[in-house]
Amino acid sequence: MLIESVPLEIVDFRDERFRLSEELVSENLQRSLKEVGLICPVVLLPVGEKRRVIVCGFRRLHALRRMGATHAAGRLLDPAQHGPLEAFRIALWDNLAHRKLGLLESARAVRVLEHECGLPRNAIVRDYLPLLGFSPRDEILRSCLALHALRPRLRRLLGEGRITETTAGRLASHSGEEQDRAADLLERVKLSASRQREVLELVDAVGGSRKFSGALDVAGVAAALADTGMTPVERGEKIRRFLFERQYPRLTGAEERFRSSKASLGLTGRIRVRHEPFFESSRIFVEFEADSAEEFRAAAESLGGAARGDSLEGLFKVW
Amino acid sequence: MIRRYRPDRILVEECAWRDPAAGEIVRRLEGIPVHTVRDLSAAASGTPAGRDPGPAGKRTLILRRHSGSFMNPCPGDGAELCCNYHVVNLGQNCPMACTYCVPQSFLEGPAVVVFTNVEDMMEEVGRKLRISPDTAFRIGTGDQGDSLALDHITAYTRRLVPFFASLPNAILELKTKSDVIGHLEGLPHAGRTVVSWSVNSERVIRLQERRTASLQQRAAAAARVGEWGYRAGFHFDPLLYYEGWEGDYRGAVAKIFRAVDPSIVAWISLGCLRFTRQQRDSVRERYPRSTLTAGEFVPGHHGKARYFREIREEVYAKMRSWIAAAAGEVFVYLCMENRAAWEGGLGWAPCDTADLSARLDSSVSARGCK
Repeated sequence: MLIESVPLEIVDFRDERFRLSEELVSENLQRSLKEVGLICPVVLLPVGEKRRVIVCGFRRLHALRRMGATHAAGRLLDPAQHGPLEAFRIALWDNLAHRKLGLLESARAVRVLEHECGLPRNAIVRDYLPLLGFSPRDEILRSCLALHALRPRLRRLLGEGRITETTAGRLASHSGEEQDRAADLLERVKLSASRQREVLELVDAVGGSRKFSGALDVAGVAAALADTGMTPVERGEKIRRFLFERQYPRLTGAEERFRSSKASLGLTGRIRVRHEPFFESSRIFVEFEADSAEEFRAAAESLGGAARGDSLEGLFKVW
Repeated sequence: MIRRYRPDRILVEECAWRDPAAGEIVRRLEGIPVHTVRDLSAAASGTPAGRDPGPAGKRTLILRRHSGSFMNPCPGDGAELCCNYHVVNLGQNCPMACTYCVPQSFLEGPAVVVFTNVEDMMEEVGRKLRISPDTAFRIGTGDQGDSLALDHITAYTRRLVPFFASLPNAILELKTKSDVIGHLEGLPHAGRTVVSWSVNSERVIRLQERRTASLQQRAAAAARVGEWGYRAGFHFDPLLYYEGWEGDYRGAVAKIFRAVDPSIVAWISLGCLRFTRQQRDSVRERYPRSTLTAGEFVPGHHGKARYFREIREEVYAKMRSWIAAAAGEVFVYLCMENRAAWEGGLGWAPCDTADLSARLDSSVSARGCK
């Protein structure tokens, strides 16, 4: 094994053909290098006399360069024995030996295997997807390749845990411009996983072929996004509501009429009345709580009053 | 008359040759290259990949044996009010190309498949019916394909219609969007075969049901089978809610009953558009500009998206009134709907599945046959 002190000026930082790490900046790594130096040499592939391509150690080399180092200990691979696949396998196993790759990193690995290493897709599916923790299925390979096309702003949101992997996967299939519009919205809101699913469905339905561009045109959405008086959670909820009302005008109307009828019954606070989801039947559900016989009687009287009143029919006829 | 399907090539599974149907079909398609294959999956890979519904995908006709059960409960089974229907699949896919096609969201390839072991099918149906002699079965062949669109090359109706005429407790329903009815003439059907047309507004047929017969052709074919003593059925399914739907559907109802004598009609079903997530994705993938899935849909039976109930009730109520005006007291029922939609849309609801099933059975038998 040939280890030498490599001048950083001949390391080609722009050549990222073997890169796996999604995030290249690590404060902890920089602190470690500062305290105890480079413990493990990086791995480099010589290309010609004066160029070294990084195989393992992207983050370490970037940190060293930021710290002003001029050299790094590096193991040089023999280009005659290490084609792209052999070199990348070293990078892959080096990473897998001590950590699980993130979704975007796995997507990057799949892309490198196909594009840089020239492996046929069936070999990637069979030999590498299980290694990355996936089932050996063609559609997963396609998802990984699509995910690699995720734009930087959405990659960052995924890295920060603000969008789920499922959301990222769905957005990755959109055009670059549409992804940027999605980022315009998603950077300004905070949505739970289920709300993300719901908003994406609404965007699909409301925005049509223009997806996010169309959804951002819905009345109120742009204003809500620009409203600095709301928290990201409130903003997200408001936008979801605008989209929902646009997609479900009749359902929204029925819900409003139900709410209004319910209010006019004048029921006490501990009585809850709800309709069947989406009004698929006219059935309603009534529930009340009582901590004493007195409270029970009060609730029953309140319900009795509602039963005698004229507003009750409205609960069952919302259109 | 719609153009009769003629494939570019025929793939015959080696073991299918033992069925007489394989040889008969190949003889009717004289001049078309025939390849006998042991492994159909490998051979069929020559067809265009994916779910291409276009003409290219359907130019391959596959003749093979069906190894599973032929007769199964209709996928609507389990709806709050279901009609207790059974389906028999004699093939998969059809030469037509409907935007909303259900089978294309789950079938593996675009090729048109015909099962050749039709005798096995008849044996299975006969056996299952003998087990429940007191139960009346309505059995349709148009679930994963069209009942008649390939009949000019399979002639399966010449086997099926007399077979069902011999069964004491079954009605066969042949459901189609074609006008391929030639082989039905002169068959001894004993009133036990209903020939049904899936119908729609002319605009929907033009835009969403490519390579199908026009409404006029379907109505004319229905009138013709009526002359041969068959009962006819009509299925307005899927009903689409779009701007101008009222005029279009009212016109469709009027057009049908200008051609068809209402007394030959056994039943008319109504069903608003509904789709699974896979079906929706398939539509969006294959027809990116389609607005079919863009309405106010809510989750319903089996997780399928369907129009909000207010819309469905409006559609059903208006359809019912137009049908009544054009055809009088024809039996109209809803497909895969709940009680509220029945009551809101038709003004009544059957007590349960058995009640609906019995009403459908009697609507055939009460009218007898010519």
